[in-house]
Amino acid sequence: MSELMELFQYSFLQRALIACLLAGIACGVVGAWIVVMKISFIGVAVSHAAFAGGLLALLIGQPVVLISFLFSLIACAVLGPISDRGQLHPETSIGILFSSTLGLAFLFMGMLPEGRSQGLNLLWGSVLTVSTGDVSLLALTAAIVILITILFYKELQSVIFNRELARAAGIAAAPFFYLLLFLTGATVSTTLKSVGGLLVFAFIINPAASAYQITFSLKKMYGLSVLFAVVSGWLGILAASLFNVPAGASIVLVSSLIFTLSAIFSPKRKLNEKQE
Amino acid sequence: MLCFLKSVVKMKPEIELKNVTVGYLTETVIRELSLTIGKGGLVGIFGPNGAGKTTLLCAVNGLAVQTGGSVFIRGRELNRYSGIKLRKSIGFVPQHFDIDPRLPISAREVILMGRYGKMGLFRFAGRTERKLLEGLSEMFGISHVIHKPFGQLSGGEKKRVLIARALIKEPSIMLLDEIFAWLDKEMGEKLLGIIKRIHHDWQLTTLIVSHDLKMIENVCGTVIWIQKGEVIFNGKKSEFLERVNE
Repeated sequence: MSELMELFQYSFLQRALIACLLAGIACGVVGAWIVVMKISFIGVAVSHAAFAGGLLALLIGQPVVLISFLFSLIACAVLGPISDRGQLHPETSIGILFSSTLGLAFLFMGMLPEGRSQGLNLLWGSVLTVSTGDVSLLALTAAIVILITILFYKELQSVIFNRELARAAGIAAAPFFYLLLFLTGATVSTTLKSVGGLLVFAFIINPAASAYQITFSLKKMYGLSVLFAVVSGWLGILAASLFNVPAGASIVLVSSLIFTLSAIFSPKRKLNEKQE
Repeated sequence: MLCFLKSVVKMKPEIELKNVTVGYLTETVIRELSLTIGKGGLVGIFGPNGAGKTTLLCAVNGLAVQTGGSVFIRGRELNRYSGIKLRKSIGFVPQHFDIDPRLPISAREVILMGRYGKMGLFRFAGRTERKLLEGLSEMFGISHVIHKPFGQLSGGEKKRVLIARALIKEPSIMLLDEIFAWLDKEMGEKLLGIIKRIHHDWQLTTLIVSHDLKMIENVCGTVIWIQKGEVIFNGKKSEFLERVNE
């Protein structure tokens, strides 16, 4: 216990806990949208595009967040219309984009002049080394996500319920759908450094999917999703500090454990069985 | 002069389709279809499966992918930009609506969503919305289920919730797509009575898609008969029934 208390004295750990709180808020809310809309495929593609962008940034010496954000926006701009118009089956488009971005990521990693350690850092994440600037950026992302969710609650709720019916009700469904994708891209890019390119999407999906198992209220789902993301982050960091294991992997494993427990004790379990 | 202008305005049909062509991917569903529907009409759209009835409804509210022609609502052309505003006065009830029963959205929220477009940005549901919600829930006999998750309602309850959703924005045009399908006889008749009453009291221009001849006979004053994306009859119900019986 005293060992644990001692750990909290370190400023890097304090920063990491704050980073997890802020990333948890942004990822929890964004995850709720993605899970309710059942567009996980877009999130996967966006996070891999952001990862490729981050590696390119390291290669050309530009800010990781900026380039990964640009890449994730390009992914959204490609996938959004495909999903919107139903021109291609989502699995086809994600397959193409996923393999392309992963190919680019490995290409950029192979070209990194200072070996691959920098690239691997981005792959696994390094929440324990986040700077004050990274924390500020996460705070800005979380604030924007929360503000937009409150201001456009009814429009976003309509869009995530059903885009076609939202349009029929006189809501500009397409701009709001793209706003959701844009915020997903922003959240993935700013969380990339903390959780890592390989795991960031699990940090978005797992807490929201756990909340989805538990509640029938969207407002409660937002709250639970954020709570599970923050708890996963904090427990993951503690596990990483105590057992000297990668923080990103610990965070995602804790979130997977929360999901398993939620699925086991879910009041919706009977409905799940009926659907199968 | 003013009288003349008033009469011109009055003459504008509520819905006008001029050479409308609608297609999905490589298939053309309706071809150069033209028709006009006056204000307050109760029009049945009849035809076999795959004739283009649902596509016609979707063309009227601009949800279909229109590849040619123009749709006018009260004289104003429906396009990408005007569509958002015009749809605020058009109620739409879809035929099929499959939804995950685990979805964390209640029937109450689904009904209120119907009014969100009309309310505009940065406004939250207030007394007016609550009053409308209560009135419609009572009218459709769904007061006891509005707090339940929408996905867990029965087919008939879902349908009534969706009709209440379409009406909560107090539309001037109502588009109903096969709303009597999946309903038992008693519920179908009850719903029919409500539709007739609302149409009369609210002076709604109502388009009902159906392939059920009996329903068309019971409800509609005018009938549009579609086959393979083309209008083969557009006129009074009595003439339609004569033609069908031939």
